[in-house]
Amino acid sequence: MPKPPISRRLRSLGSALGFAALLVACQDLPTEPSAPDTPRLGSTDGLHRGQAQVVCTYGWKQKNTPLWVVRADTLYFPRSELAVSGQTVQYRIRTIGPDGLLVYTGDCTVPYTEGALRRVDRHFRVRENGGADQFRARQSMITTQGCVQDDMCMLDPIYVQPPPEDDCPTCEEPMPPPPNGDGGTGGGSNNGSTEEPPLQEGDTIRDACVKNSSGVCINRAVRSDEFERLKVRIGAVREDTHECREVKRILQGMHGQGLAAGRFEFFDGYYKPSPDEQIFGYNSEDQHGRILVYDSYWIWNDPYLLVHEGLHVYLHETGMKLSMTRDQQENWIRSRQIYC
Amino acid sequence: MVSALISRAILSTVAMALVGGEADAQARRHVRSPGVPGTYAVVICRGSCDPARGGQVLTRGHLVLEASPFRLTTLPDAAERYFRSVTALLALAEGEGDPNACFTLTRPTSLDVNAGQEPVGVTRWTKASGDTIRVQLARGSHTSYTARFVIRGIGLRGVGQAWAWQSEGPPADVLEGQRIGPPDRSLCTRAAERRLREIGR
Repeated sequence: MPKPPISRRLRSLGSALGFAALLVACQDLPTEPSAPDTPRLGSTDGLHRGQAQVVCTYGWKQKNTPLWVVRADTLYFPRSELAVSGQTVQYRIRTIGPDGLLVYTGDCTVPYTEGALRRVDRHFRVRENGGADQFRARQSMITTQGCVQDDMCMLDPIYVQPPPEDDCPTCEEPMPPPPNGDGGTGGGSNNGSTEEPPLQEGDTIRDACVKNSSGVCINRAVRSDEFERLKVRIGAVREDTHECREVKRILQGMHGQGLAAGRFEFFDGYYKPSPDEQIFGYNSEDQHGRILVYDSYWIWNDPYLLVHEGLHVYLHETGMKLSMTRDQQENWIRSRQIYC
Repeated sequence: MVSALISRAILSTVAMALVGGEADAQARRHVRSPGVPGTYAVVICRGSCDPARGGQVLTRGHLVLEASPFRLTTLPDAAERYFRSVTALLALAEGEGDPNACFTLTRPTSLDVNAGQEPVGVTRWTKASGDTIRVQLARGSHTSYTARFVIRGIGLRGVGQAWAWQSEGPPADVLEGQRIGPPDRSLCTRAAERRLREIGR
């Protein structure tokens, strides 16, 4: 289904303005593909065409203040998207506000392949004239210009301009806010916002979790930064219904016991008990009570996972689960979690 | 003479039957199967979809199977927002690529069953084995609901199976359907937009 015309028009306008901005402001640091023998991937196995991760830095200007927030996060690339020679390139994206001032920056050193650049384009919601298009355009010129081989080509910074909010309040932003959007470092807080960047489908490239001898994923303690982030997420749970208020109370109570109480645990990597099925979270317990266990990736990317497991605790504490089958519990929870 | 005529008549009849059968078979072969892509009206039942045989309809709706994957960003904004947030585990399934199918399902609110747990979603159809097609219709924290079926001509027939971690699954439901036209994704996006309004997001 096509987007509404206004969105398309604004995006075209954005592209045009972005191109104009590019013309006047393109004198940024050169971004040459690295020499094959000097790769800069963040993961050592990335150099050998295994899965690799790179660290991206983001900066964005807070609304109505001169402060900037700076954050770093990790992007993952499958081995199929790594350059054979380990070559990398600097990917830079800049958002120019309606007043022509810079409002957002993103910088990543990424594998110099079309697939990797397209992945980064998706991450930043760049639909055209992004890194992958630049890569493709260069490939067609290589035979005549030797563009990449002599390292003289630069990957142009990508400039975008968001549509004015007043004109299009429901239009999506042309790029996501930085991952790990809640909290903030470097330039001040971001007012405790819990907005998460929309997950781009196909972005998730992870290893399987490490399992114990029983075939169950091994959990780990929640880190202090994750614990703080959980607090923000719990605080953002809506209180529109009785069950939502109760689950928020339960989650706050578990969190209030402190990090050392170990009421929250994570497992890293995907948990697939069979090829077709996946586990994202569940209730566990010890002598001190319930423990909520979550996939450390999906807890931040599914808005209802936190509440879902909390509602299981609610059914347990109220004794309601005693009169319900497991199917009934799931149906009961899933029909209510969306209001929290 | 008479017996010869009778014999010839019998042979002729048999021959015609054989030829006719072959013609039918040829005709059947020449009726092009519409293939997998299409919009299917589906019903999921307990036991049977025939009330006369004691069957019970659990949920009914539409299943849209497309010829190729599509990006969520190509959907209307509200529908994209719904699928990314409310059905993230299903829509953004890790390592499974872009969706190539969607569904809408409705069931009586009095029914407390797994079928139709997710009223609308984007998902993926894959060939499970042979002609069997697999489509996941719900995915939760530690549960799922998966349909497996075969398509013959315009008909669709198979089973729907709930899964829950560390739990013995209930008996499979019966799934039946009929192709009603080419893939119509708008059935799902309109339902998602309605649902988003309903839950106040």
